[in-house]
Amino acid sequence: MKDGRGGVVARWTLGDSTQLRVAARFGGVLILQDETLQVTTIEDTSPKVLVQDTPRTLRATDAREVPMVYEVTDDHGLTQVDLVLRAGEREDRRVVARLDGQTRLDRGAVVVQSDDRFVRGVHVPIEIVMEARDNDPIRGPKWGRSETVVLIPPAVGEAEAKRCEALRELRGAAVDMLARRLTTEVPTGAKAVAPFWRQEREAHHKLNGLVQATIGASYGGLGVPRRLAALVRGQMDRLHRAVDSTCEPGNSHGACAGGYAKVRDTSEVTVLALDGAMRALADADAASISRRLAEVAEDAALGAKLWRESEPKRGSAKLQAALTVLGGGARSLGRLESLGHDLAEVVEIGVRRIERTVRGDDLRGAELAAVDLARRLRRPYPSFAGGGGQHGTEAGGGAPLDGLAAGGEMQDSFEQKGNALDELAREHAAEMENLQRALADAMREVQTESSREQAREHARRIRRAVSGLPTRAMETSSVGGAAAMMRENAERMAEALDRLGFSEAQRAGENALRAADEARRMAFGQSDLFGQPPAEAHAVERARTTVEQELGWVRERMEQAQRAAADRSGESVRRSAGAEQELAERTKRLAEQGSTGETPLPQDTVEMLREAEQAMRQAAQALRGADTERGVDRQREGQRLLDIARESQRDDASQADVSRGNQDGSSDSERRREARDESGMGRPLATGRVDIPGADAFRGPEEFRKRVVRGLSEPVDPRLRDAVRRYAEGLLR
Amino acid sequence: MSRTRGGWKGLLGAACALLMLLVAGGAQAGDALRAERAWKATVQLRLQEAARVLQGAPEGDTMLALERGRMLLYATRYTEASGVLQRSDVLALPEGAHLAELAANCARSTAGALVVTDDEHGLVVRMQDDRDQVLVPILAQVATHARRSIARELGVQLPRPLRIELVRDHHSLSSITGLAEESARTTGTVAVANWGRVAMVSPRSATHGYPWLDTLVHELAHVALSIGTLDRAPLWLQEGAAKYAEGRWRAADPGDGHPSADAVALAGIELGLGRDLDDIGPSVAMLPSAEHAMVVFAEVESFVRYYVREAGPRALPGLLSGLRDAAAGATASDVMKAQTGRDLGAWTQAWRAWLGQNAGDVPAELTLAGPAPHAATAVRNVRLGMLLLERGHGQAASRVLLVAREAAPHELRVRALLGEAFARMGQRQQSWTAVAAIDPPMVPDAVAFSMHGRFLAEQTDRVGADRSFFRALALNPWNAETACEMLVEPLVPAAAERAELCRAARRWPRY
Repeated sequence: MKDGRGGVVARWTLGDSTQLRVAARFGGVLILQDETLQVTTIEDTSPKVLVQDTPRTLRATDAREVPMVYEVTDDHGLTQVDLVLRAGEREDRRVVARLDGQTRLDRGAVVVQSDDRFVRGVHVPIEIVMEARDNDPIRGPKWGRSETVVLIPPAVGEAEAKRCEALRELRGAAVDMLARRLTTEVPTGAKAVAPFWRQEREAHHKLNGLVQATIGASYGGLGVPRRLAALVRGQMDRLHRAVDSTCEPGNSHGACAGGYAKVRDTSEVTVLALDGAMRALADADAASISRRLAEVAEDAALGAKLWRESEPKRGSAKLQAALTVLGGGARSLGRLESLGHDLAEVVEIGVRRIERTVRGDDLRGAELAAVDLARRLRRPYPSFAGGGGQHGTEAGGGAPLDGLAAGGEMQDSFEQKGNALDELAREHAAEMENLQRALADAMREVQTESSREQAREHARRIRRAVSGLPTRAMETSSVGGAAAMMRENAERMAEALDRLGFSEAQRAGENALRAADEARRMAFGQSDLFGQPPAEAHAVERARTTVEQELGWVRERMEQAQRAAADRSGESVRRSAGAEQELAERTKRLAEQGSTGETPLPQDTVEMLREAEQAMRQAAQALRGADTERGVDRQREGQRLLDIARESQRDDASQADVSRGNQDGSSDSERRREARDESGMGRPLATGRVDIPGADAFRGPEEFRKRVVRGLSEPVDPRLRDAVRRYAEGLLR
Repeated sequence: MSRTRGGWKGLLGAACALLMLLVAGGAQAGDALRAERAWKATVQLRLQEAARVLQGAPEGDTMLALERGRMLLYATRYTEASGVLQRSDVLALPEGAHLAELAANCARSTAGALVVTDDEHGLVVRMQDDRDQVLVPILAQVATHARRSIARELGVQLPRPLRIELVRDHHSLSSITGLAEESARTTGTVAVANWGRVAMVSPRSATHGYPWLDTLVHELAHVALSIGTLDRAPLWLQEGAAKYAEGRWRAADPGDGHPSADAVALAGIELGLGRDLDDIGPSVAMLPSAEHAMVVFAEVESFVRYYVREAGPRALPGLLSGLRDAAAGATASDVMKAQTGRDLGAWTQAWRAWLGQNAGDVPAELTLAGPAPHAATAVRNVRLGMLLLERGHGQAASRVLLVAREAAPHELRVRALLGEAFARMGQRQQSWTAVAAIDPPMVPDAVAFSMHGRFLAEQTDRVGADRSFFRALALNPWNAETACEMLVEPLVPAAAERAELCRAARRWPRY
């Protein structure tokens, strides 16, 4: 095209190196330029992506996080940097940076956590790479990729296997202790008796330490289920009592020997209970792992189908990945107990069948074998069950005497207690709710239209009284600031009265009076040159008198309403008193059952139940006397204690977050004791709502800060207390 | 196993009726006579003959396609059978749909299974778990003995090859036989004979094994009964004759007849667990419990023994051939009456009268109703003993196991554990004493037999030792102590197939 100055301009897209020569045509004559220009193209290369310490392979069990520290360069410009995770057929691409297309260098770091959702969701090796895209306008954007970090996720069932091994170790220690007790006699000499019992107590404490460590630990994110932990703690409490109380100084040898026989018997029961519970957990885990592996087997079948029908490469990769996962899962299963061992063999047999068909180029057979394995794993029963075939051929016969049923009845008995506690807490909560609903209904009934009109009149008086106070102040720590705070609270009180919200009106009124007092205190220190207090001080005094009067009216009105509500809901209250008494009796019986027999509840759970019983009896008594306020309060306390006791028994086969819950290193019982202690000091519910102070609680900035810190840190779950305090301090710094 | 046989018979009847209707209606049913010839050859396991009959069959002939599918199913060529039976015209027949589903299940459950063919002994064994191939030489020997004993006792020659499907679990047993898995689990079914082959659960699957060799013979007897009667034997005869035949391939075992079938039958009948012989239901495996199955097995075994004892040794083969040759609609009772002058009702009455006077007592340990006396004590102490032995505490284990023995004095399992505990303590004599008196065992235990055998071998009683080792092997071959005859590694038994089994059991120990 013409350049407007007598010359011409031509543009071509240059693909490769070439020679450029200009020529001019005049009719049939072409005149070439003498000189040629050698044009050399420099290819737009793909971005270069470097990641520190690559390539490398890591195990997710060893590495909690995988840092990807990268540096990306391009000869022309970058538009995007991605973190890419690939596992088998799955890919997860995450944009790390979007760039302007001119930037030629980008550096950064991104971390992949071992509990990343993608990592958690797959069981085949994961390739982690950084990829970057350039802005090549000629041939289109190109991607460059880094070397790979291969992250090997834990095998299916790895955590369960670790937990089972830890419990097996614990069982082994209990068996060793039993063995010693079965083959030891109480010495006869008086001098030898004391060291003998000291040794017994030491052995018990050592085992108890192992118990606490085992049930408090996290196994790849899995904890020991609470109900199992409670059963074991109950056994240890029982054993502790046996060891502690069976041979007092001065007892005869016969008495001590009898006591030691009791220790032996109790040790036997402890071993059987632990063994039964551990095997039951292992079998439940085996069933769960089996179901997960069924999905993997289905994946294998899909791989074989793809391989056979349409996408050989992809299908083959998918099948191989699935077989790898199945192999890992089988190894995990093999580390559990009998059902796990059985299912491990089932998986191994299935894998060998699939591999055999693949070797024989029978991909349809591979698909069928994989489907068959998936179907089997979805039904995770033992391979063989029922009669046992010992008495006869073909069918029939009873189960052989192999002792595997031992401990089962103990578990059942413990389960029953746990379930009874669950039911008790649920019924008590329902009863409490019924009473509260009845009281609330009655309260609504007594709030008539005339009382609403009365309340509005009182609200108007309050508003008038504070209308002369400032609405805002520059300094909160001044008389003006306190006066503004008083007005705000008084107006809130009036607003609550408009809605018949007497409780809220009472709180707001009390805050308004506190603000007035604060204003009065500050007025003494802020007198002017003539010794006169600030002008707002007088207005505050006048308003205070009115607010105080109105607060008195509110209190009186609330008492009347409560009495009326109690009268109206009398039948409900009386019925609730009876129900509360009955539930207290049940709680007492459960505590008694929980402290006796071969499968006692943990001692602190029993104590919690006894305290709950007391609170429930107090509630019943108060309700019988129509003291609904105290009745409801005691009822709540009873429910709180039941909930804590129940929490220790709640069956939760997979506590994925146990490790987080245990970060402070305290045991369950310690936490429950803390909760009880705090309650004893009259503090709010340890597990209930956090009492965050409202903006109306005027105490000055410093006081407010302290209160926030205290408020956030005290009433919450003790496990979180330190963390919350640190957070709050950081927040307010 | 009779459920499928019974169902099969019913389905066959339905198919024939359908065939007649189609022929009468002039529909294109196919070559009915040719189909019947093929069917007869198939159910008598003359599969090559059946294949010849079906060769060149017209493409559109539904009945011949059905029979071809059946023949392939009997030949355990499941994938091919499934292909033939999936034809829409075959699927439209009730029996066609049933066979198609069965063939598909078999194809799935046997995909990738290892097949071992033993031409010498006329045996084809297909196994899901390839490790089970070390059992094949033993199965082959037993099958050879079984051919002779079944021909002698039942008058039926078993065909060659015999086909055995060795499966891992109840799930697969159910899949390839049609027996409901729940039923198999409830009654502890370990094997089923149908479709011309024996399907067995691998003895590796059962923690303490099961009498797998007698079971094989029991199931082969079923195969023989199907062939010998053209599948006309009622369930009581099927199971009674199979029980009668199952132990006759080998030398008598001191444990045979203990507990006595007569005593169990009588006690079971008195407890209401028994059934009338002609009212057992579709299958023993479908009875409500393992105890019911045990009693019904005892009833039919006791009755057949009584029948043979009273009517003579040729009575049983005569009954089978009589059924095969009887006119259509004739029952076993009719044949019995024709041959002995008394029908089933009369024989049953006589047997019950005899039973009331001659059946002994059921051993105290065998409980048909409720748990055994002192069971809880025994179970607890056995478990404690096992745990203590696992941790190497022989002395402590002996203490709790002595309590268990007191509670269950005839339990071989307790004695074996006690023997092991004493052995750990170095008390050889007490260990021997624990397992010396093993007969008659209430519940056999392979480890107790093996220990007994080892002690006899040390006392140079080779014959006694071999008998004990065999009893152990016939019960739990995958137990390493059993397979290796209690020899310490690297020693292995002298016989080649036993040595191979021993090595495999050590390499892949049963969990």
